[in-house]
Amino acid sequence: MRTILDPDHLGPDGKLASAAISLEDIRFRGWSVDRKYFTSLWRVRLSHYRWKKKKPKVRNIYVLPVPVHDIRRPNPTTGQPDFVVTDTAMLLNPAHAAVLLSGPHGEGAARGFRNNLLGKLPQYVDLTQAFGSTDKYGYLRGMFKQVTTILASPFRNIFRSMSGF
Amino acid sequence: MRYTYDDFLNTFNAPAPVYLRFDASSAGGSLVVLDQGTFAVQINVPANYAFTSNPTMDLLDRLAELKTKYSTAWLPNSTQPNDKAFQNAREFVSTLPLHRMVKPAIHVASDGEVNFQWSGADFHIDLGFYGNGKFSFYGAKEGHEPIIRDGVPVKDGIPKDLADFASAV
Repeated sequence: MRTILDPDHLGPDGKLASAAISLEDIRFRGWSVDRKYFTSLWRVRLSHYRWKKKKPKVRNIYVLPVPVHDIRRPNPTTGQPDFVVTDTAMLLNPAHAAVLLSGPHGEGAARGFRNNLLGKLPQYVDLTQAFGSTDKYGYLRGMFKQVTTILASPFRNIFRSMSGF
Repeated sequence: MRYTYDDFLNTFNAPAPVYLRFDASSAGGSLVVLDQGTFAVQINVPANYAFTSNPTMDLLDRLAELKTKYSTAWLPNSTQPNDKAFQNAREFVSTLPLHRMVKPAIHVASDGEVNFQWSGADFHIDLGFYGNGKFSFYGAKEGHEPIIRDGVPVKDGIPKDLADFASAV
């Protein structure tokens, strides 16, 4: 899900403006999303609280569910997916991921892809609607994954050097 | 400068009644406020009062509003649009044939783009400025091939084939 949205980009019909996804993000930096499986309601609330402190005029904060299977689905014309979703977990945000165009494209073409992407997204919703009762331990799960990845990394290097790769 | 409804609510964010005067000299001076609630103010306007709209001025006002709003970064890790991007957008607005095409929605993206968006039942146009004196766009309309262009000089204005997609006549 996309957890921070500019209120100016929220349409009254629940849709987002094209500007909600920046070209720089989908072409180079990666459009930031959080994987719900590795985060929790309280964690997102905390980041909203921090943001609201900087922007006291913001009254309501909405989130955008992002159906990753739709984004990864191959384009029927090319047979290849237009976007890739990559794991970009950060130390204290194990849920972080990025959506990127799968190939290099100019600005104009990237505008077309972003509008296709926006067409696949559902309406933005209130944060509480995005989480179910089974999502309670997502952040814990994410941090556990982080710790095991960090602990496993030296062994991975040893195995790599032993196998000559 | 024109203000948004949110600015209006913030200005009058008080429980006490708010007294308004609708100044309309062409209708013979101030008009009477009939009723006011949390979300609406009703004003008695004579039948012969002519409301005029100026779409070019509306768009320039919107750009001024966005320039003020995005003078500080709005989203985490975002880039503010530069003055040149707004200048390019203003120049572009003055070239738009608004007498024959619908008005665009204007927004600012987190990478500093000043974005113009036209949306209709069977068409969509996405066009934007980063302040380099050029713009790029993507236009799609049912039954037509999409039009995609990069690096169009601002002084060239909107291409005719693209403007036809958002034709209001």
